[in-house]
Amino acid sequence: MATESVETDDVGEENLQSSVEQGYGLTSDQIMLYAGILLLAVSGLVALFAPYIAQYGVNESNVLNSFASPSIAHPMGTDANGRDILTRVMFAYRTYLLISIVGLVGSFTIGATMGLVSGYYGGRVDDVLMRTTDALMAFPSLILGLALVAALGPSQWALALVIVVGFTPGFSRMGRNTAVSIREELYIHALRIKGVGTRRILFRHVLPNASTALGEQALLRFGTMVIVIATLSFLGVGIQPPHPSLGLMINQGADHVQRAWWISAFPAGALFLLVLGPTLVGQALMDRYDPRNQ
Amino acid sequence: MAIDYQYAAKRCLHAIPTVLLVTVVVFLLVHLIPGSPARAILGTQTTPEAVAQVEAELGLNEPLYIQYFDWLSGLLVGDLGYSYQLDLEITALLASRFAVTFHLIFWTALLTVLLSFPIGIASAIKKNSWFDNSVVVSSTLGISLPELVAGVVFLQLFAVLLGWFPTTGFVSPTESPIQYFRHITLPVLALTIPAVSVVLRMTRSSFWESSQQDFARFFRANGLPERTIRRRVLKKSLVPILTIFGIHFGYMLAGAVVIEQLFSLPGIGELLVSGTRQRDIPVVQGTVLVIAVWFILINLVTDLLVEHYDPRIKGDH
Repeated sequence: MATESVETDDVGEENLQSSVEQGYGLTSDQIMLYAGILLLAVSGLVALFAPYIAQYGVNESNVLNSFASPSIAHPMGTDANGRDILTRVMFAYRTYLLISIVGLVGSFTIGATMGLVSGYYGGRVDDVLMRTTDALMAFPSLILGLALVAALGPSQWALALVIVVGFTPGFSRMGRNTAVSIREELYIHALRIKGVGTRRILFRHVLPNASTALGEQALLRFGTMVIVIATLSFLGVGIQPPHPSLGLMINQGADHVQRAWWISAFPAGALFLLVLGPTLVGQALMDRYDPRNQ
Repeated sequence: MAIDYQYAAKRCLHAIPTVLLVTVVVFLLVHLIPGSPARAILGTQTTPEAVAQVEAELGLNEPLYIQYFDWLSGLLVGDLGYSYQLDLEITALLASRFAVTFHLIFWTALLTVLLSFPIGIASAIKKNSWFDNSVVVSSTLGISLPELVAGVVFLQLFAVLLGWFPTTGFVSPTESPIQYFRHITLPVLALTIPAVSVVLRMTRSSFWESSQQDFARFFRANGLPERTIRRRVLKKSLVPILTIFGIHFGYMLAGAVVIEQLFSLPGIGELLVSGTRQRDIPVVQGTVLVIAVWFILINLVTDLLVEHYDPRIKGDH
């Protein structure tokens, strides 16, 4: 903030003003960004080290200790089979993050590349690709997921495929729009006249310019991916028992609300936090780089 | 502003290939399902002869493209076949189920507009105030709140523990208006929170952007009343708001799938999930198709509205 306080233009003063009002030397945007990064980091660490920090086995059940309310031994209580909910939440994070990352990398790579190339070249290929994208985008990813999982049978890899198929059209549309708008920029014309190859222009000049927009969208979609996985699991066509899954746990807990609210309440909270991290970071980046807010 | 009917008609014609492509996708998707639906109908205690007979009756022995054209020609006259499991006509089934879902979506959309416009505009006018900051923070939390989580929390807290609302079911408004509202309040609220959060954010940033433009300063310098300036600023900022609202309006059907399951509402989403579980192919095809066509329609209307307010966008098509 020190550099900004030196500035004398309107924007600098406004920033200073709001940061002073906050009282922490941080703007609300920055607080959201850091909170999001922190949440993401914690979720990632929990997922990565789940087997080492969990006190119980994932499917270690103790029927004598079923429906135990939250205590020091079981901070989130136990479920109908006497399994430790905290342990299962941590392992569910592992599965969810793994599937979403595979899905994100797959859909982003395929979608963004297809979109950039087709938008840059235009013509008939572009027409066909965009018509197909239109048709695929008419299915909300959850609906497409339901139909696909029904076809493939529920498994973790089917879920990853659902994510890839469901989210590729969005990234390809976005990549295409960016390429179309950048294609006509003066510096791209200059590069072309200079004789720079198309592939080089695409990957060294168009892609980096599109990366902020694509990156923030990737983060925002990441949250949606987690929601799709949880929802399919909740509906009984996602991750199958006895594998731990937040959606499944919410579903199982719904039968015992009056007796043991913690069975679904903690997994629901954990799901919210898992979605909140990437959304906060994506939203903060969007606010920061959106020309509307400059 | 005159309405450009010719252009609107052209855009509607352009949607037809997309719809056709959607029918192909729907048809193929469902035919990827391994295992014969005849087996699903007859159960495990059956003979190969019985399976073959049912398959022949359902036309499942024909080549795929013939099955597709049969299905498509039925579709054109509103005949989507019979449900394997429920033994009902799909078209009638879809109509009755969609009616329930429509109640949910109607109230959600109405609440979304009624809440997000005033709050978003007030937030933009008082940018960086404590009110604006709390709106930004709570809407960010709202965007991250999955319908599933909101639904579970509402159901457990207000219906099961406090008993203020019934836990499940649907009552038609003609039967008992009071019971109708008691039954749909929680599902509608669970769907509204994420929708309002998204639309609100767009209203806020778009309104603020327009209010900073030269025309607004010019009006203010000329001493126009603040009400008039705001009305013009709002009109100028409508395009992105309409776009995001349209997208969300289409996606509400996906949110409804979860919410209907959670609150046992007999809507189209509940039909899709039970159809998927029971491998009732015609039901899955019909529901997925209705959802996709609904989405295309909403998109079309949104595009037309957006282009009506900002004719410059027309050039893109």
